[in-house]
Amino acid sequence: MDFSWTDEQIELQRSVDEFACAELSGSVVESDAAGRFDLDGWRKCAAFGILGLPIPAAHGGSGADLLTTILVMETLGRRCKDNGLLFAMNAHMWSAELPLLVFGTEAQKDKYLGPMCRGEMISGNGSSEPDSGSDVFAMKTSARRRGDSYVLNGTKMFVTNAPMADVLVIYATLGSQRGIAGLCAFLVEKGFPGYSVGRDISKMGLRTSPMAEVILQDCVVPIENRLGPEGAGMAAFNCSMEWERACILASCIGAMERQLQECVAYSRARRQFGKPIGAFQSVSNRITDMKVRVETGRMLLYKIGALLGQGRRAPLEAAMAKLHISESFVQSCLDAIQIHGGYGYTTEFEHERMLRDAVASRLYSGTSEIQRNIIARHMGL
Amino acid sequence: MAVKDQLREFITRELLLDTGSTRIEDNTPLMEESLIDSMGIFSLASFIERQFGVTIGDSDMVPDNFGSIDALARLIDRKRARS
Repeated sequence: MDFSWTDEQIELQRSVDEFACAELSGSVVESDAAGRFDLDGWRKCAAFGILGLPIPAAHGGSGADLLTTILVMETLGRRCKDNGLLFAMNAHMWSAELPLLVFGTEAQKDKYLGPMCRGEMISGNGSSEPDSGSDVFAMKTSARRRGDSYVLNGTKMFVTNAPMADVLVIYATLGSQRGIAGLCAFLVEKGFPGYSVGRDISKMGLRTSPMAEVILQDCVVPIENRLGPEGAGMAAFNCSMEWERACILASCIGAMERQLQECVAYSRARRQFGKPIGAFQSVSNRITDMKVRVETGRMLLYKIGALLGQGRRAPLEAAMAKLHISESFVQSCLDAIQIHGGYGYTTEFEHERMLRDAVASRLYSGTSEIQRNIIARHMGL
Repeated sequence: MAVKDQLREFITRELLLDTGSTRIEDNTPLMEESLIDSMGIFSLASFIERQFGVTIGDSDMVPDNFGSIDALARLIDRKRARS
């Protein structure tokens, strides 16, 4: 596979780099402590065109291919220290925009995609429930047809962007007896009767990305807000997960690259026992391993971009990339802390926050255990 | 081997890891009876693409197309007719 970039892609990367350096490279220490979402940063990213990257121009985006999108998200991850902001954007793009693009009617796309690309409408999805996380299709949220509407009842857990979301893709079942054939996806607006958002959920990391429960109590959703035909819920969910696993991790690769550069610089400057600590193999070996993780993760990611860009599916590759990059991200954060010693443990040096953020990557979009299950299934096990 | 028999054999052997005791009829509801699940559907789609030279899109993987061996065979026929 040829991963060489075109002149246009290199130019785009340069402009994203400049944009992110100028607008998104500030410290996140205070906003992390306060659990504050950067709405201004969100709007700047929307104005730059980030939120509409994979969406065709006809629907308000720029129609970038997946490899280009990965390149942009990786560059953002390298410059923007606010992993929570990037996570919120990824949730918006992959768990809502993408299934809407693939399964939505023209009327749905006309109504929602433009404002979503412009960042005026914030979105996400509701799939996990209090009693169904990894076993997501065991969900209990029900959808009952009533005239020209569906009535939804249930509770969605860990919904990223819920506190400020204007519309969510909500998954519900027409009845457990129908199995996965009964799963449906709905575009649920915050003003629909019976829709409410619970308390904000405080988290270990990604604290600048708001998250809450969503309660659906006799929530009335017009039939024109069903996404795809009845029973398309699993396909819509799988589709969004495949793209999310590819792109959400691009930002992680960028963050790992920045962290690696910081470790190299620190190991060259910091002197102990009369020489730079990088001259000690116990330090340089850690940095070497960090470098190998970044490069192998990036190759897995680019392969997915190439496959999906060719119109092929890549569920196995997406699972492998998700598993490898998220586990690598955590390990590299631990290495960065160890290399920086006592300083690495301080809030000011920001590696401890990176570690807290990184741990989430082993959980969201399917835990590492689920990724291993998917990989095993693809090997016939 | 006929299309339906190839599908039946793949589902039985590769998805259910069954050596032959499960009998899947042409109209057996594959999703309702959990004979294919959220992971198996990807394997089945890849098999169909490889075996029958058609492309299965994300929006094709819905019960109307993947709900039974009959439905799958109709999907393959439609895809072949278009190509």
